[in-house]
Amino acid sequence: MDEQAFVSFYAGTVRPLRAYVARTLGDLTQVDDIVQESYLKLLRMAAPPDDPAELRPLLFRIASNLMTDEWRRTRRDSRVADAHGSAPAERPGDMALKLDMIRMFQQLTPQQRQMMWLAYVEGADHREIGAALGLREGSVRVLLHRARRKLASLLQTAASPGRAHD
Amino acid sequence: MTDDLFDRDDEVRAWMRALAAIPVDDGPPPDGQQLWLKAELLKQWDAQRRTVAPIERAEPIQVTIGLVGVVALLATLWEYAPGPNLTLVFATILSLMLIVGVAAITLRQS
Repeated sequence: MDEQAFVSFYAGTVRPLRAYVARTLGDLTQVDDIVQESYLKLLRMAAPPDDPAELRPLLFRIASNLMTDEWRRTRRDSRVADAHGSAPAERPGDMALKLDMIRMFQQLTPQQRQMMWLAYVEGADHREIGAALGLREGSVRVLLHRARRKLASLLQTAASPGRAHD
Repeated sequence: MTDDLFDRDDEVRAWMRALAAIPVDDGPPPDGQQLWLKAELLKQWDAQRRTVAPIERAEPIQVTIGLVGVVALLATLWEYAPGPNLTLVFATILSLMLIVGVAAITLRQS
């Protein structure tokens, strides 16, 4: 990959990657480091794929591995409060709603967050998710189903707080 | 209950889309060209480290061989010495101190 190709690839992927890392990691202080490290690891690979279509899944796989390393290293819960400073100024009602959404997403496990994001935001299929997270396709199917069910349950609980599900 | 949750897939999808639309960053991302240059520098550094690695690995062996040789030479010379005198004892102690010093520095660096 030459410089121009990288700059073009970077421009097209940096925001989606930042969003993925920020929403699944939960700790915004680490986001930029992990994003930068992901690109650097990609560029320093001995034999990166030539096909640009393979680069994006590979980039997300590197970022997923780095996040897993970070979770293993710190073993701490994600702090949603860090997200306060991230959004631009807007009406308090909108901000509260968005923070509620982020908090709700943080109630999933880190792996569930990664899966849900890759599946619903990145549009990755089971095989691609498995490749990104180091899981078998069959396992992804089951785990993704559980994650979806848990999020649906959380949504239902939020919609009618009197009823607890799952 | 489970069926009800299955039916909520569209809701989950829409919710995830809304979550993804929440902006994350409060500033522009780092410059891609700077990242490229940093990666190039790191690649050069990696290449340098790969080149120097065998030399660094061999360094303690070289120093050990040298020190053993010096000690052997010292022992041989001591046998041929006409007789113990102050200058010879001083030179021997100084040589041994230098040998120990070099060995300590080498071990610390490796």
